[in-house]
Amino acid sequence: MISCRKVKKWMVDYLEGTLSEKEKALFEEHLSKCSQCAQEVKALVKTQRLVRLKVREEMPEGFWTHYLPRLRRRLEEKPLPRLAWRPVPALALATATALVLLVVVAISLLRTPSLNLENLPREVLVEEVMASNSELDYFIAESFEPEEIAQALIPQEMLNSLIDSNQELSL
Amino acid sequence: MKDEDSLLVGRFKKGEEKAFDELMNKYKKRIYYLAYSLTSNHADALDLSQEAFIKAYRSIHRFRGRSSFYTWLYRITVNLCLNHLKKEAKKKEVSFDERIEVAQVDWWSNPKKALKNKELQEDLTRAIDSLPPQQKAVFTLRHLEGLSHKEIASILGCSIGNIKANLFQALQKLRERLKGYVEG
Repeated sequence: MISCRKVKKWMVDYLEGTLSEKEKALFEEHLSKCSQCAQEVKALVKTQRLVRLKVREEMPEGFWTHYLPRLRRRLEEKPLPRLAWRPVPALALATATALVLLVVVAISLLRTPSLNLENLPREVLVEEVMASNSELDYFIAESFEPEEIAQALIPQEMLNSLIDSNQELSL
Repeated sequence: MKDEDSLLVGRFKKGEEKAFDELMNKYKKRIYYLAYSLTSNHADALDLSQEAFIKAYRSIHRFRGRSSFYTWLYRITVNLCLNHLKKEAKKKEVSFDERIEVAQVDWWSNPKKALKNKELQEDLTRAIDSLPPQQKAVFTLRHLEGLSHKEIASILGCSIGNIKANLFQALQKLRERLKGYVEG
């Protein structure tokens, strides 16, 4: 028979009906012998059914008529980004290149063999980056992985303490 | 849908402003309602959803198409909303232990009535609002937006296992908060 811990691990898949036939049989076999887990599953099934009763309040059509014109105005109020097709003055290009080099050097200096961020859960990194830095906007595009963003934006001491506390938690 | 979006993104990158208008028009409702589901406030949803489009507009030249455009746009929106929720949570110090007391009504036998019941709808909103931001985001994307675990993992930048763990914890908290309904 599978353990109560395994039941918790498989719970979401069971509730969503994505367990394999074999797994489902093992899951239900456990429920037939463990009243505590059976009670929890029953309550969670009911909870899931209940939250599905939540309806979304629809906005009136008039709201959508104004949505895009308002958004267009906001787009035009803010300075436009220097997109690829726009001509870039030589001085600005040189400054941008120097800044990019600076970031690359900073990232490579921060990368040390002992700093293995891949062992950290991504949500920890994402949460730390989001909580600690407004420069995230620059990195928001998918071209940067959470590990890269974290190394570029979070001080190394903080990353080390994050890794330490995460290792403590997993022990 | 993906190909159509890729074409629009490509046209915009080549300088055709109208292509971005088409993308905004196509996704305005989904992005607005996503922001509303996460914030439960129309003024915040309006501001954050428009901010998401502005961010997408300003950084689209860095979008490489590794994921679909809508996944990328969802990611921007969810990040903005999570930041907002964290700031709000610090201000309000919401209690997650509070339990919603309800009259014993059998909603199960009459779901249509439940859909129209204001009190039930408010209680569901309050219960979902009380979830920690990350769990609320995962729960909303799965149960209110109907996204797959894989899509949610891609949007939030974490593993599928982590998404399932968050869903389980969110359901457990909702069960506790909505005990009056669940055990009624």
